[in-house]
Amino acid sequence: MKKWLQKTSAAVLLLALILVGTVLLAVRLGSVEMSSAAFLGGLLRRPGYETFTLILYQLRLPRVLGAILAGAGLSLSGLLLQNVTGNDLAGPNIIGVNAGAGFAVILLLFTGSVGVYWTPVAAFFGAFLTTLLILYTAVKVNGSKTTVILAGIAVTAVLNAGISFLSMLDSDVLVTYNHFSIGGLTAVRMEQLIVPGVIIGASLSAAMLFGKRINVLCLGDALAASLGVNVGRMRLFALVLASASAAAVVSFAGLLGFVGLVVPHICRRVWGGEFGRLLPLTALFGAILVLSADLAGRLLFAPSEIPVGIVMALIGGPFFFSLLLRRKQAYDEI
Amino acid sequence: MMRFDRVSVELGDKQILDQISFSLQPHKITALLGRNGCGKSTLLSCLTGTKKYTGEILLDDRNLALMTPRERAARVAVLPQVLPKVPLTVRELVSLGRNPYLDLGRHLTEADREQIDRALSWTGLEQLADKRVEVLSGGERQKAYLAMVLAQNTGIIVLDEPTTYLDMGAAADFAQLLVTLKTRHKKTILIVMHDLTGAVEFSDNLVVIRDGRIAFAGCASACVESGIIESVFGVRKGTCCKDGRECVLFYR
Repeated sequence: MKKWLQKTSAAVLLLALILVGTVLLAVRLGSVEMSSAAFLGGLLRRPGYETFTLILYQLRLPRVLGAILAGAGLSLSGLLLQNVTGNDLAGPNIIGVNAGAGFAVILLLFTGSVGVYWTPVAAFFGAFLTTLLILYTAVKVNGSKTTVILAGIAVTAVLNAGISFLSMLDSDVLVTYNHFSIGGLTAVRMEQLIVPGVIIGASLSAAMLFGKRINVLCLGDALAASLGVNVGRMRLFALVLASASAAAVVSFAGLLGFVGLVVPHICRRVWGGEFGRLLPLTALFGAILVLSADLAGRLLFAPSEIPVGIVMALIGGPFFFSLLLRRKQAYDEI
Repeated sequence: MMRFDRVSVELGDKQILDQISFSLQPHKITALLGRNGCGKSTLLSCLTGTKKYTGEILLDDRNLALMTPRERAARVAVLPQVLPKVPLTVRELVSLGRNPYLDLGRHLTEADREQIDRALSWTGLEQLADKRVEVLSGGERQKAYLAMVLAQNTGIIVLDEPTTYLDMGAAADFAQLLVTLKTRHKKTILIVMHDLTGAVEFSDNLVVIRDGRIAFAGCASACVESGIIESVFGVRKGTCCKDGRECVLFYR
């Protein structure tokens, strides 16, 4: 890798520029073609361009912002989890985010007592409360990272069994649930993004503030304690941040998999493992990746769309695989 | 001065450590000896607060358990046996040693960087500073972690089997480094060792643990004379001539 790109400020600047470029493409391109004049007219809300204003402000901008928040939030969550558990394979699902959100949503759909508009609320609280249950169980035992993972596996298994059971009872519920579980940004509205945006922003800021201490957790409990970190408290804090940001994303984007696992992994390969440096880079890279995947999903078979979750897996999977192979080569050469 | 006063640890219904009492002499090397599973590493875990214990560990007559984690970390550095392969460069790892001195949001100062450079220089790792820890050999990794502990700049350094991955020459260099840290930099060192001959040669004092209890605590020569080492480890004692002076060695 080029020496200058290893500098954090240069890498952040480069990624920020790429993100701005991707945002411009994402608001400009879509199933409805826009000339430059129409684009500017719509963007500046000029008379005569109401249709374009509507498309830009009601459809494309919320979607772009949603993609940025989803990418940044899930990547932040994955980075925190991988650092805190010392496990490169950790993602938001290991602390029950997906299972918790999924169970809450299917329960809501099954009971049918409130409208589907409550789905985001159910998803957020389902994910967050499940994580808290897992952490509470783990802390009651011994609070070690292995216990967190094992408690996550146990709780997730029970909730997944509940999801399967409820989906067997009502096929209509299963159809709606499948849509949620694939994950997508098609119907995202601006007002849906305010609370998740605040949560993700606050989690990112807190992670930056405590970055140096969270970074030390990657050394394991004994060394982190020797370096003056209150290991149990700091791990719990980092896991709550990870849970809150992932739950916030699930509330508007559904169960968008893969991002939280892959993005921190790729960034660590490129820029090393120092947590404080990785934070902004991972958030930016995640935002670019999800935004690009969503754009590709919109354009490839327009006017039909492929959900961003599927595109992410199709593009990210082989890319991740090639990275793993290169990593093996690097180790073989040592 | 650090003093262990009737430190006991129970795991379930098993007594791992039973009434351990001894003192670390300032600016001296004390080797902690004992057979596998006798409780040496458990005793070190008590120092970082990761293991619950009864009794007291006193540092200049202040109870270690009552200090904040950062206060404790600024005075005692503990390097455990298992050293993870982390995706950090050697310099980044060593800089973590400054963590006890960094307030929230505070960045490394020039003084911190000087301390980090010094630690890299003492361990001879300047050339490897930009290499990732995960690709280092076992011995290099051990040195990198030692440099991190040195960057922590504490009066007391506690090392759990730090020469496991070092070849004979590197282990001798390492022992020499410890002697330098003791004499020139006035560090107090507690080191868990399995190399009995090396422990007797480089340590001022020995603490021998047998089945969770103190079998001996005192100066190395008195320990050698007492025959405790032969009894605890089932070894025989011999002598050899090294650089014109007589040295004790243990063998089976």
